[in-house]
Amino acid sequence: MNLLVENIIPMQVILLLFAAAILPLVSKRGWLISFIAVYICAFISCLMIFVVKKFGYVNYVFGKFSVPYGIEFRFDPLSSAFAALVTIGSLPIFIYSFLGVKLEIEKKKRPTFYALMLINLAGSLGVIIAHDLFTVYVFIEISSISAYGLVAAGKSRESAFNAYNYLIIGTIGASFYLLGIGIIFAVTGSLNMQDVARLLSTSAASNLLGISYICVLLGILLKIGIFPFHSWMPGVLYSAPSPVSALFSVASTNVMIYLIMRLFLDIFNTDIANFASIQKLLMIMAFITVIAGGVLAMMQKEIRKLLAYSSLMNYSLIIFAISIATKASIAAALVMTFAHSIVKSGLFMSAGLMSVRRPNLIIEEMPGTFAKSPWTTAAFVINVIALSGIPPFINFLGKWQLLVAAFKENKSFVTIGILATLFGLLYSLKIIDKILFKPEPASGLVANSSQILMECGIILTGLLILIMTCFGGVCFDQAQQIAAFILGKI
Amino acid sequence: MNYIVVVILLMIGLFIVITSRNLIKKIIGLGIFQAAILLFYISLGKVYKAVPPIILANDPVDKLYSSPLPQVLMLTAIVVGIATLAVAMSFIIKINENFDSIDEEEIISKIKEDEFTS
Amino acid sequence: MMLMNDLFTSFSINISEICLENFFLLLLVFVSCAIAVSRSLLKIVILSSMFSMIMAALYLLMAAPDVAMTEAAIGACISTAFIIKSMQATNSNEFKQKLVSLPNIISFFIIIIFGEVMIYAFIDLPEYGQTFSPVNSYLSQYYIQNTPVEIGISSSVAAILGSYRGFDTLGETLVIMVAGIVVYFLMLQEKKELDVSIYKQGEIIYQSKIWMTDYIRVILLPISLIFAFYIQVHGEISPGGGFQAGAIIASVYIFFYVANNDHDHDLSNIIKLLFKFSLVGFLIYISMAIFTALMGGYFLQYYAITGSILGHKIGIFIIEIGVGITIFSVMLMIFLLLTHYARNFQMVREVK
Repeated sequence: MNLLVENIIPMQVILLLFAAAILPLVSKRGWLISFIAVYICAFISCLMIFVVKKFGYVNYVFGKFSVPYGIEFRFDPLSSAFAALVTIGSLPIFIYSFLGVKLEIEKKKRPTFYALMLINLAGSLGVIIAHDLFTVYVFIEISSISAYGLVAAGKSRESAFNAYNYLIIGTIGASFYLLGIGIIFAVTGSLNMQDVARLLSTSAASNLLGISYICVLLGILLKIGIFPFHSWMPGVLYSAPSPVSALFSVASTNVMIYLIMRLFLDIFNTDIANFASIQKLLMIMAFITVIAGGVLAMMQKEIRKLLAYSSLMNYSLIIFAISIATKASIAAALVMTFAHSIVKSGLFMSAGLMSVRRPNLIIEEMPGTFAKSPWTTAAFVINVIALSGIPPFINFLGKWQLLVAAFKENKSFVTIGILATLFGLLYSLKIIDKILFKPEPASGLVANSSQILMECGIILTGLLILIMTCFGGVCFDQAQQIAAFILGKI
Repeated sequence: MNYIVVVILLMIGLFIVITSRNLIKKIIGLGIFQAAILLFYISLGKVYKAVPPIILANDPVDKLYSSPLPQVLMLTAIVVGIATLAVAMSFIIKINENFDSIDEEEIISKIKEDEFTS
Repeated sequence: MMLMNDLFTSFSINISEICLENFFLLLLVFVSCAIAVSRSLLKIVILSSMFSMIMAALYLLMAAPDVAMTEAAIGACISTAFIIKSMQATNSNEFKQKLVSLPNIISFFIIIIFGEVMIYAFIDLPEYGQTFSPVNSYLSQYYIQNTPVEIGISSSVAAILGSYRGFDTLGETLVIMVAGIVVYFLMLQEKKELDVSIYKQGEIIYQSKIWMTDYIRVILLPISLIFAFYIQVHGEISPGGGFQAGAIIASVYIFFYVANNDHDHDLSNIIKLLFKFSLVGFLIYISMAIFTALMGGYFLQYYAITGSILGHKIGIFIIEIGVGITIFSVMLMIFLLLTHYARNFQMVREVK
């Protein structure tokens, strides 16, 4: 029994899928197996970062066929960074879900719930690591279908309707992606990403390629939630159970951002005729979404909807950064993605903690929630301040870099960053004021020992943000290196 | 001609999804949209005077086969389509249980009433 | 097999083949326009089943028999069964629809513009049916030439499905399994306890048996089952394989449950058993992947099982069985869950 060491490359995906399939058969509660599987995956991700630093990139083809004829999995600086984000970012969520799932899902359905969460994570990891256009589509659908099911598990009356809307828009998006890669397949005849990059650089069919890029971009934007396709996002994040909303902030949308970076900066040949106008259109759409998201976030009375609109705003800032497409702006986009995911997952978990004894989460009525647990209060404050982009946390550094990069290109877009920070400042001040500074007698939270685990998850996210802030310079260097790697192919 | 029909089916499918009020009809429109993309892929792989790509032992060397790769991809796509349909059906039944109708505008007005009164 | 090859070689580029394809394509457009305009769900369901059958015939004309079989089994049979069951469970048939209203007209124009842009771009596609287009000449030629040599089986579609792009098929099986898990997760609930007297009153209505079902059950269903097992096992030599076989066996059982709509029969136990079956089917596939890794190769490197080409045949055979089990159990389980709900809904309405 001689095991090849290269088999560790797809091991994360295979391990998560195996654990997900075994869970409902074997286990009655489901938490332990899923936590161990996610922990091993996080460990493998860290290992892969070191391997990629040493070797540049590592390559694996299923069945040991040669590259364009089999399916390739590849770890290079971009994919290893995102894989690490997804796996390490979901560790706090799975710690939190020990009690979080118990409070929101009924007992008999828990093993299948954990199985669905593991499959969602496996799908996201598959999109990041797979280097073949059609395999990416299959894994997008895997993570989407499990996501629809996870959203519909929420307790509010409209969860199923929001899940249905999400399904319609998500399936249209995935189908547009499939159409786009179909046209690319018709022009090049191959599906492997590196092969397609090579063939596209010598191809002349400009109209067709333009349409295929638009279709792929449309599909991905539908799944991220840019205006005018943003209608599903607030409902979904509001009515899903809290570990699920946290998982979406870490896994699903980040994967789409990875896909845009990978396809449009690395693989696709963007020298064709009308690409600059597509880029400008993207910038305008992102701009509109930032303003719309900020204004709507200010008007929200309920904390989960406010968090959803602020997600909208942050993701459109990241898309704006990518569409500028210089080395500094890509680095800023990477830092903002990492920072925002961790912060948002921490905030959704806090919202879940807060909803334990309360029927709804209207901000006006939530004074003094964390009065009894100082560490969680600290983590919550860190997350809220970081979300709004106030110095000194790493989100601010990311937005500052974006401002600098946008300034170098074109002065009139600088206003976006300032606007975003101002909006963020306003609503985070509102949250902190209402929740923390009005003391309230003892309408307590669930006071048993497993609540510690829930709080541990939230505290862990605060810690991660602090670590990233302290090592801010290192983070930026790494981001610059990854950006140079991605843009260096062009 | 195939490709023109593909585009027409895409348009009709999108139209049904966007403009229909009944939730089940939307799913059928989505099915038409996905079927158009399947037709596109299989049309890419057709070769005139070709047989299906089953290679028997005594075939002449220059026999023409149609392309097997789009067919494999579309087997996956058909299965993904039915999976989405099944999940959507279960959502529709849950929605009916909660709201007592499967008409989109009635459901949205009921949700707005909920928000208004709470 | 020889008969089918001869049938296709006699189809040279003559007018009749092109006319037949174009006729079917126009029929597709008409059927989908009819679906767009119609206001009755029953009509829409029957039209969509017709749509799937026309697509299956088209795929056959384009020399894609695997896809045609799958589309016929899954698109025409199973999706129609699902939609009709959910129509029963929600008790909806006629619905209001205003076709000409301002948002509809605006979206109509946007879609027309989108369609024109796409047709303008699609003119540049390689000509339909060309022998040397990029799709038909680069990877496909390699697969066709190397299937007898590297994999050792006849059907290159099965070779790509099982060996070259075996991981995509793993993902596909996973998609089916996830759909099953989601529907099971959302819809499994205890049977509602109802007043027995009211149930007995309705018994005559609900235990309906259409007169022809006895003949179909005795004659047609066993032949279909044998045919399905033949397709499952001969996936490597002829069009067929796990997907089609699983779908056909599921349709056979669905017909059985439709014909005997017996409300006394409690479906919960068989639903739970089918759920476990679907997980087992997927586990067979992924265990094969892990087994090849343990044998000293890469994941899904069937060559490593025996060290020769025979490994591919064994590997593909086993994973097709896994795929067949998964798709059979998931399709049947979803149908039974929808039936379970439809029965409860009907009984509750009767009580009210």
